[in-house]
Amino acid sequence: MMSRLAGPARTMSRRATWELWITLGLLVVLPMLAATDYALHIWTRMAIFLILLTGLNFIQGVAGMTSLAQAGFFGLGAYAAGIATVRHDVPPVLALALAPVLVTLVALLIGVLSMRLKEIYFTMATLGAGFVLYLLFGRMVELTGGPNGLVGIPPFSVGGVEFTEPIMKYGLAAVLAAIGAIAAHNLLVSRTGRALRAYGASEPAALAVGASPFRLRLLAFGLSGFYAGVAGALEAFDSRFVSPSTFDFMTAVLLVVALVVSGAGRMIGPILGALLLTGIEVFAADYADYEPLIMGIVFLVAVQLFPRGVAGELAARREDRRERAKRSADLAADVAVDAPTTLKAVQR
Amino acid sequence: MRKKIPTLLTCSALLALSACGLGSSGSDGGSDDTITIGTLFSVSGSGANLGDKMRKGAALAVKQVNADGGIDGRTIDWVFYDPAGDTSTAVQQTNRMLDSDGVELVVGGGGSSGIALAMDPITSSRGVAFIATEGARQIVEPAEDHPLTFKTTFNDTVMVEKLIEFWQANDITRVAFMPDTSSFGQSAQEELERLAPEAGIEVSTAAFDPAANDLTPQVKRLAGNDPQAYLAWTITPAGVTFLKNVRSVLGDDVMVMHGFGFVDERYMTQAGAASKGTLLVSPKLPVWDEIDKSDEQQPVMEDFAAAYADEYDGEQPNVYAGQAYDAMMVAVEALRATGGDPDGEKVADAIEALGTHVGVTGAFKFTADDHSGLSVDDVAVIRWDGSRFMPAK
Amino acid sequence: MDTGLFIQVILSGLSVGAIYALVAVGFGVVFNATGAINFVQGEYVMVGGLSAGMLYEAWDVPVLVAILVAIALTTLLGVLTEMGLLGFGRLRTPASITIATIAIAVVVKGAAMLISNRDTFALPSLLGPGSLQVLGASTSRQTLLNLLLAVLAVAALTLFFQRTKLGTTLRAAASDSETLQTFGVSYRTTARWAFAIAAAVGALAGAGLAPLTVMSFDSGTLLGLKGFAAAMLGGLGNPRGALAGGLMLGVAEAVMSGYGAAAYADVVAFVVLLAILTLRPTGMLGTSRAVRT
Repeated sequence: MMSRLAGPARTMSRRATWELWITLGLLVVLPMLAATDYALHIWTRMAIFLILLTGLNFIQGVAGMTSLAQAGFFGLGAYAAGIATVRHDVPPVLALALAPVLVTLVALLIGVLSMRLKEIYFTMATLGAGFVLYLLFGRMVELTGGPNGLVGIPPFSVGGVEFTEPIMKYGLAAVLAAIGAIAAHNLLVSRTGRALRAYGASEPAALAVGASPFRLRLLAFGLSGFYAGVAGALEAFDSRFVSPSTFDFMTAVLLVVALVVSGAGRMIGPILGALLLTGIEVFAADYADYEPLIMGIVFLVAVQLFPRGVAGELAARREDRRERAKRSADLAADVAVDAPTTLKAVQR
Repeated sequence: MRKKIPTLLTCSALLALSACGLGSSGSDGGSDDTITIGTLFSVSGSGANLGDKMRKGAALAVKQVNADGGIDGRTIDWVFYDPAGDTSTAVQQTNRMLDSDGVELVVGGGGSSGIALAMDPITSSRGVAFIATEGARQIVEPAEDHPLTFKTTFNDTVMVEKLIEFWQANDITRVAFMPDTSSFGQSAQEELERLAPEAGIEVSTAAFDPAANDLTPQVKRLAGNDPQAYLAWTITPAGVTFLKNVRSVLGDDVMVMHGFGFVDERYMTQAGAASKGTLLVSPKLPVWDEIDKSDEQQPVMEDFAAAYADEYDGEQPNVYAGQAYDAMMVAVEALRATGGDPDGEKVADAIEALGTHVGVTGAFKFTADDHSGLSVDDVAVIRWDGSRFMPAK
Repeated sequence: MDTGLFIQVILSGLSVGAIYALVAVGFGVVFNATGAINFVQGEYVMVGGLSAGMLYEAWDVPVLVAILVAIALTTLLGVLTEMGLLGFGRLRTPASITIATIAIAVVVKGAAMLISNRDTFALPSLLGPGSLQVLGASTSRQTLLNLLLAVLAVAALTLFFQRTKLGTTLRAAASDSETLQTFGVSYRTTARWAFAIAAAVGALAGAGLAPLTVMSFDSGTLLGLKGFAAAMLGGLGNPRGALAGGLMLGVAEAVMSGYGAAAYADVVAFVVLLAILTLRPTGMLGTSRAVRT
C-alpha cells in the first residue's frame, strides 16, 4: 500500500516544485515586462491576490472545502493593520505582524464552530461569517471609520525607510508572496501536507493513516486566515485607505471562482488566479456599463469550461488521452484474439 | 509532465502580457490640442442610478464646452471609468488615469464619499487638481491639508444649518432623524448630532440599512419621543419605504422631511399619496421655474434644464446631474483662467480666484479656506405638492 | 412597556418575514432536487418585482395582469437557469453548481440593470392603498396578502410534494438521486421543475414586496441571502420550516430595529445563519439531508 502511494506522491511533489518555480519566476519577470508606476501598482495588486489565493488554496484546493470568508478575513487584516497604525500608533512592521495573528485566531474560532459541517453547509457558514465581518466594518463607525472608510494610514516603513515608491511597494508584496508560496509548497510536500491532501481526496484515507480530519481542516482554515491577514495588511499599506466595499460578498466569490477555474489544489493555481483577477479588473474598466454582465458571463463560461480548474482540466485530458490510447491498444489486442466479437461490435 | 508546463506558461504569459499591455501604453495627454480630464462615477453597483445621472451631467458639460471651441482652442479629452462603488477598484483606476492615460485634472470622485476620500491622497501626491462631486466635508477639510482638492457639493454642515434655521423658524425643537447606514447618512448624522444640541434642538436617531424593506419599527420607536418632524437621510429607494411607513404609522398630519439626496421626482411619484407634502432641503435646481427671475442662478438653471432635457430625451436633471455639471464647469473655468495650464497648484489658485461661479446647484465662492464653495444661501426648502416640487413657505 | 411599539414590531416582522418565507421555500425546492444552493433565488424576487413594475408602468396593464406576466417571465428564467447550469453536462457536484449559480446571478443582475435603465419601479397594492390599524400599530394591507400567499404557497407545495407523482419524484431526488435515475427519471427533468417552481415562488415574493417598497436591479441579492438564512433557520428543504424560519427572522430583525441598535438590524440574519449552523444545522423543523460529516 505505502509503496504504491510513494510513486504518485513523488510525481506530485516534483510537479509542485516546478509550479513553485514558475510562480517565483513570474514574480520576478512580470515587473520587468512593464515597470511604469501604474504597471507596478497592478503587479502589487496581483501579488496581494496571490497571497490571498495561496491561503485560500489550503482550504479550497487541499482540504476540498469552499470558503466564502476569505474576503472578510482579508478585510479584517486590512482593518487590523489600519486601526493599529492610525488609532494606536503601532509601527507598521508590528501591525503587519499582528494582523495575520488576529485573523488566524478569528479563522480558528469560526473553524471550530463550523468545521464539522458538510461541505455546502460549511460554505454557507463561511458566507455568514464573511458577511458579519463586512457589515461590522461598515457599522462600527468609531473604530473603523464606517462606510466612509479609514483614512490616514501611514505607508509601510522599516527603520525610518518609508515604502512609498511603487517599486518598493511591489518589492514588499512580492517578497511576502514568494515567502508565502515557498512555505505553502514546503508544507504541502511535508507529511502533514500529504495527510491534508489525502483528506481532501477521501476521508477514509485520512483516517487510515491516522490523521484527524477535523484538525487537518482546522489547520487549513487557520492558514487561509493567516495569509488573508498578511494580504489585508499589505492592502492597507498599499492603498493607505480601507473601506468596507473592498471586502464584500462579490470579492469573496471572485476569489473562489478565480482559484477554482485556475486549478484549486495545485501550486500553480494561485498565480494563475491572481493574473486572472487583475486581468479582468484592468479590462472590465473599459466597458463601464457592461462590466457586471461581462464579469458574470466570463465566470459562467470559465466554470463550465474548467469545473476542475484550467490546470486540473489539462491533467484530466491527458489522463483521458492515455486511457483512450490504452483502451484502443487493448481493443487491438482483442481484435487479434477474437475477430468475430469485433465484427459484431461493428454491426451493432 | 513536459507537455503541460509550456501550456501553462503560455497561459500565464498571455494573461500577463494582456494585463501589462495597458500599463505601458504611455501618456498621450498634455498635447497641444487637447486637455485630458479624468472622471470616476459608479454607474454600476448599488449607487448606479445616481452615478448614471452624474455621468450624464458631466458628459453634457464636456459636450457643450467642446462644441463651443473648447478651452482656448483645446478640446477636452474625457476619460471615464466605473469603479462600481468599490474603493480599491477606484484607487486602481485613479492610478491608471494619472500614470497611464495622461489625465491632467480629475473631476468626480466615484459617486460615493468613501471613494473620493480614497482618491484625494493619490491626486494630491501627483500634484493634480481634483474636483469632487461627493458630500463628506472631510474630502476638502481642513483646506490647508487638501490644497488641490475641491468639491461642488454642499457640506452637510450647510444643509444642517439650513435645517436648523427652518426648524427654529417653525418652532420645532424635537426631531426624529433616520439616516441610512451608508456614508451619505453617516456624514449627516455626525453633523446633526454636533450642531443640533447647540441650537436647542433635541434629535433622536434610528438608523436603517439601505436595503431594508420595512422601517415601521424605527418610526414607531422614534414616535415615542413625540417629535414634531421626521427627517430621513438617504439616496436609496428605502426613502420611498420611509415615506410610506411614516404616513401609514403616523397619519397625514406629521411633518415629513428628506435630505437633498432624495430630491427626485421619480421617487416622489412612486411613494404615491405618501409623498404629498414632503419637505426637502435642496439646491434651488428642482424649482428653477418657480423662483424669482432676478435670482442670478435662474437663467443658468433654465439653460441647463433645457439642454439636459434636449440631450437625454426630455428627462429632467436632478441634483446629482447638476453637481457633476458644475464640477466640470468649475474645472473648465479654472483652466480658462490658467490659459489651459493644468498644473495642480495653478488650477487650485485659479479656482480660489474665480470669485463667484454661478452654477446650476448654487453660486460657488471658493476661497483658500473654503474648498466647498456653497453656503446656506444656496439651499432652499422645497415641498412636493403631489405632482411637482414647489418652494416651501 | 409600549404595546403600540410591540405590536408594530411584530407586524413589521411578519410583513418582511412573509417575503423571507417565500424566498426560503425557493431555496429548499432547488436544494432538494440538486443538493445545491441556488444564489439566483434572490434575483428571481428582483426580476419578478421589477418586471411587474415595468410592465405596469410602461404598458399600463392592470396590476394583476402585470404580476401574472412577471411570474411567467421569471419561471422561464428559472428554466433558463437550469439549462445554463446543467445543459452542458459538465457540472456534477453540488459545490460546482452552487458556484455557477453565483455567476448566473451576476449575469441576471447585470442584465436587469441595463434593461431597467437603473431606475426604480413601483407597484400598487392589490388590496388598495390604505393601511390596517391594529391596537395602535399599522401596516400596509399588502402585508395581509403576503402572509396569505406565503401560507398558501407552503401548503400547496407540501401537498404537491406528498400527493402528486412529480412531487414525490422531486422529494425522492433529495434523498437519493442515483436510485431515481435507475428508475428512468432524469435528473435534468427533476432539476428543471425545481428551478421553475423556485423561480415562480420567487417572482411571487417580488410581486408581494414591490407594493411595500420599490424595486430596482439591486433589490434581490441581499434579500436572497437573508432568505437563505431563513431557510436554514427553519430547516433547509422543509417548506413548513421555510415559513417558520422566514417569520422568525423577520421578527428578529424588527426587534433589533425597534428595540436594539437599529443600524445593526441587517447583521441579525447572518448571525442567525452562523448560530443555527453551529448549534442546530438541521434547522428548527428538520431538513432533508445529513448536515455533518
